[in-house]
This record gives sequence, structure tokens and C-alpha cells, in this order.
Amino acid sequence: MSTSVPIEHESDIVTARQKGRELCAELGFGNTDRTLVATAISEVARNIVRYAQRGEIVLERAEARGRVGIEVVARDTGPGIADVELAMRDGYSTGHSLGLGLPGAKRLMDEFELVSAPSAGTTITMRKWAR
Amino acid sequence: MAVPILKHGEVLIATIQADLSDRDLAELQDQLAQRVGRLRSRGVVIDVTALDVLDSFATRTLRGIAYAARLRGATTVVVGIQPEVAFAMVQLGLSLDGVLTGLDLEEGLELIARERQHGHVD
Amino acid sequence: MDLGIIVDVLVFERQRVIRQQQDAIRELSTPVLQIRDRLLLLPIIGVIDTHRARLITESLLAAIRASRAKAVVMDITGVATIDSKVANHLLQTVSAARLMGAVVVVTGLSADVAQSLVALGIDLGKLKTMGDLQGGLEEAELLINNRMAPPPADPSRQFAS
Repeated sequence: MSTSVPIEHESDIVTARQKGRELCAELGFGNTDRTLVATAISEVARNIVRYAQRGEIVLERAEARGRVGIEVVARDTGPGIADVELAMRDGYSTGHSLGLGLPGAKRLMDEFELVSAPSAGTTITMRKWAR
Repeated sequence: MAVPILKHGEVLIATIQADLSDRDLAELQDQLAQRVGRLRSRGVVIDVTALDVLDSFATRTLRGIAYAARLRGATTVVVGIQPEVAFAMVQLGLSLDGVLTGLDLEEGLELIARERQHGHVD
Repeated sequence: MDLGIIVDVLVFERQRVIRQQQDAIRELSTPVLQIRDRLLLLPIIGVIDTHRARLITESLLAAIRASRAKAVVMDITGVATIDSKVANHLLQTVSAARLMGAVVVVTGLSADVAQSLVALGIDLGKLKTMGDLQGGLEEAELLINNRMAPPPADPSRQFAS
């Protein structure tokens, strides 16, 4: 159960989150969790469009310790994030809506890993487990 | 135009019917700003009942619409945010501060009527 | 038959049953009461962790939609401990309710707790609070009236001099 969504135009953001929602439904996620995942996918997909111009989002069923979940891998070969710590700093408490939307996506998911380096692109791996 | 905009007296009603791309949202913002000015509307109701995701871009756009409308003397109300969407928005840290919200179209129109009568709705 | 498929079906089924049971538990532990037309009362009692906060928020939001509530009185007198985490959960519940068009009045927040939250940097600025439940219900009534359109003009008075 693996789907790859190419992210090249901003209209692909909608495709990625709809496919994410579909996979969540197939995996037995409740309504709220489907929305959380779709929203997180929307944020990381937009990041790819804005900062890397192109990339892909791979959606896959995950399984661990008897639980089923969804794994979302958002990768691009863009310029990379120079200061990962800064990008992940939560602007929420200061009321900022600027920034890369990454801290937000992290809050919505159960697991979140980000690997990035200048000129090496970015790979974000997020997982959410069905309750 | 992806989103139909109806004129209901002095109020514009934009009913979003499906998931919108970023470009559709930007166009909605332009269209509403233009029409509020041209038609001298007093209120704008944006019905997002059909949206199953309201992410940071969509939220920023809604705030932008409300701001542009206010500059032209119109009140904006966003109606129809679904429970799961409201939950995701607060988890993400998004706020619609400065934008009135209502449950549905009927409430949206009531809020606008009330605001015009009294100048301020809580 | 493929063993993998059997396991998939069992896991899916198990999750579905668990979710049903959770729904039932949720009903019992997070009651949202309809006081009158458009007014809900949400008494929060006990320990609030992330999981429970979410159940409470989901229940409240579903109730707002089902009853078309315009105001919610959220009573926190019975909340065990209110630290910054719990406060943030409650603030999120309030924000979510507002996004659905309902105004929230929080009752049962003691001055002491309010002070310590402010000292922790929690912004209670936009929160509507009242000391006791009665005051909260009255405030909610006022807010509901504020949000409703004025009644249509009485036609029999149209030609009053």
C-alpha cells in the first residue's frame, strides 16, 4: 500500500492531502485523525512547492508493535534548510503565522523526523498511529 | 471562478464547494475584494462547510479577505468550520482572530445584521 | 489464504471495536449538557491529560454542531490540577469552540489559579471568565442575545407618530 505523489505544482498539494486522507480511511483512522494527517501533509507539501519547487510525497502503511498507521515521507532535492533548529522553532506562542509550517505539522503527527542540509535537499518522515 | 459568489442584498455570500487549491483561494480573495468595493457591500459570508482541511495558507487567506473587506467597510464572517477542522486548526496553532465566525449561513447573516446595528459583536 | 490478509482484517476489526468502545466511554466521561436552546454547559472534572482534553474538545464541538449552540459555559471547578499544560488544553478547547461560532465563558477559575497562570506567561487575555456558575450562565445569556439579530420591526407600530 504505497502511493507516491509528485509535488511540482501547487495543485499537487490538494492531491497529496486527499490521497493521504484516503489512505487513512483505508487504514481505519477516525475522522479527526484523518483531518490531522491531511493538514500535516498540506503543510509539508506546500513547503516543497515554496522552497524546493519540486519533490514527492510517499504515503505508506506502517506497522509497529501491533499498531497500524500511516507513514508520510516528503522529500525534495531543493536547497535544503540551512538552520534546521530555527525552522523547527515553534512560532506558535508568539503568534507568528510565518515560517515553514513544520513545527505545526510536527504537532499534528505522532512521529516526526527531519533530515536536511544546504544543497542536499530535505526529507521529512512523519507517522501517525490509528487509535 | 471556482467559488460562486452570490449577492444577497448588501451581503456577499461565497460558498466553497470543494477542496480549493492555493491559487483558487488567492483568486477568491481578489474577487471578493473587488466586489466588496464595486458593490459597496456591507458584509461577506464565507461558507467553508465543504472544506475538510483549513491549513495555514487557507487561514491566512481568510484573514486577508476579512482585512481587505474591513478596509472597504464590510464585515466578514466565516461559517461552517467543521469540528475536525476546528480541532486541527487549534492543534496547528492557527487563529482566526479578528474574523467573526458562525456555525452556518443563517448565523453569519445574523451576525452581520447585528454588527451593523450595534457596531460591535463579541 | 494469505496470512497477511487475515492479520490485516483482524487488526482493522480490533481497531474498529476499540474505537466504538472509546466512543462509549467518551459519552460517559465528558458529558456536555444542553441547558436551553443554544446554550451548553460543560463541567470538566478530574485530571486533564492530552488524551482526555481531546475527547472533551471533540465532544464539545460535536455538541455545538448538533445543538447549534451559540454559547458554552465551561466549568473548571472540578479540574484536579491546572498547570500550564492543562491551561493550554483548555485554551485550545475554547479556541476551537470559537471557530465554530460559539462563545465560551469559563467558570470556576479561582483568582489564585488565574494569577499563577499569568505568572507562567499564559495569556488569559481573551478568555471570558466568571467566578461562579450562576454568573457564567447569566453572562452566556447576555452574549447569546448580543449575537442574535434584532427581531423584525413590529408592523403594527409602523405608523406610530
